[in-house]
Amino acid sequence: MPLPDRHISGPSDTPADLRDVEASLSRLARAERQAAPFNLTDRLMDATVRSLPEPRGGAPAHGSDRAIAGIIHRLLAPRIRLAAGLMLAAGAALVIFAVVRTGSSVPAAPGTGGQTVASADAHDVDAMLAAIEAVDAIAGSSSVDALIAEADTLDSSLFSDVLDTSWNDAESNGVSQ
Amino acid sequence: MAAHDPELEPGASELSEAELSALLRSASTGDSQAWRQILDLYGRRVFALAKSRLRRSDLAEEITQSVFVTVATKLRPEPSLGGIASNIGYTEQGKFEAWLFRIAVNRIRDEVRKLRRHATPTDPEVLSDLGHTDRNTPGGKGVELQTQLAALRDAMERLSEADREIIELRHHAGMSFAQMAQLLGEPLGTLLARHHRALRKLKGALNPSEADPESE
Repeated sequence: MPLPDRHISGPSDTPADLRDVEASLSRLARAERQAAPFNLTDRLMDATVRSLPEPRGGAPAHGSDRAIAGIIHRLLAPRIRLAAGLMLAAGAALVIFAVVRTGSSVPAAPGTGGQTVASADAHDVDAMLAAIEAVDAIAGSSSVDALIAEADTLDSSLFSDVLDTSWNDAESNGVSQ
Repeated sequence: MAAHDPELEPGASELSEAELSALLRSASTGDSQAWRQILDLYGRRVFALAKSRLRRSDLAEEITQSVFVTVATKLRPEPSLGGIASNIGYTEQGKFEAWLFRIAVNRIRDEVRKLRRHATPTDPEVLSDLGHTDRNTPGGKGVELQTQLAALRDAMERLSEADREIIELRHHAGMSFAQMAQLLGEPLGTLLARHHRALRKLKGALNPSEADPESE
């Protein structure tokens, strides 16, 4: 008996008493296929076509999508590069401005030389001298040296008792109090 | 004898192996028209296989989509290795239908297992979908046919998984015995005998009084 090569080979392969069952199965299978949506192929196409490999050599499948992407790329790429360059320049300008503006409050980075430190020191010395002059004016003294001499005199009178060592000398000579 | 079943998808039995190979080659290079033809040839057959087992059109369509997404993905050519290009997935030249329906069968088995874990009452569609069948058949003959098909579905439910699978692959998926042998990895003679026994059990389930004692 020849064996079927493809698909249903016909009733001759099936015993006569089973042919009615086979015929019923064929009707059932047809009913199941008919139960599919009438536009099944379209729906399958929509669901699966993006999983297909990309066409070789720029074939037309999804060609419109790629063309649009190419146009967008060509239009936007120079603008994106320009915007990135502008942003970098603006950032650098901001940093330089901040350094110049803040001056002494910005500590010098290690290894950058002593220029910023030197400028900070000079600024601080100026401020201290200004403060001393202001104190001088308030105290009414002609100079800072005179102010220091006054402080020394006051110091001596305040601590004269403490500095008196005569009692110690008497004890050491055998005089008890 | 020439293989042709007028009730099967018309295109399915008319396509030669060479034509199918050419279609697959075109689809594997991204030819959407070739892919559409493949979907047209096999979509309803995969759907019918899934629908027969799951008894739900929505699930059957979901599984059909999933099967063809897998197939489309596997048709992708592998990047060239040492100048020699090959395919990642589909390498079984000349056995496309066996490969396709193996994917479908595995996917359906997974779904059946999942449904069993989350057992739900019979879907109303299962009870009503016979109305979809031959609804144009006039008068009492249509009702009689619907009753027969309902009885057949019930009888198939009572078959073992293996027997039912053979019948569904043969009739719903429309596969040849040679393709089924490739899919199931069994000798052709064994497969023919198993199909014969499954038909006899089905007949016994349909007409218990005529059951063949040999088939039990």
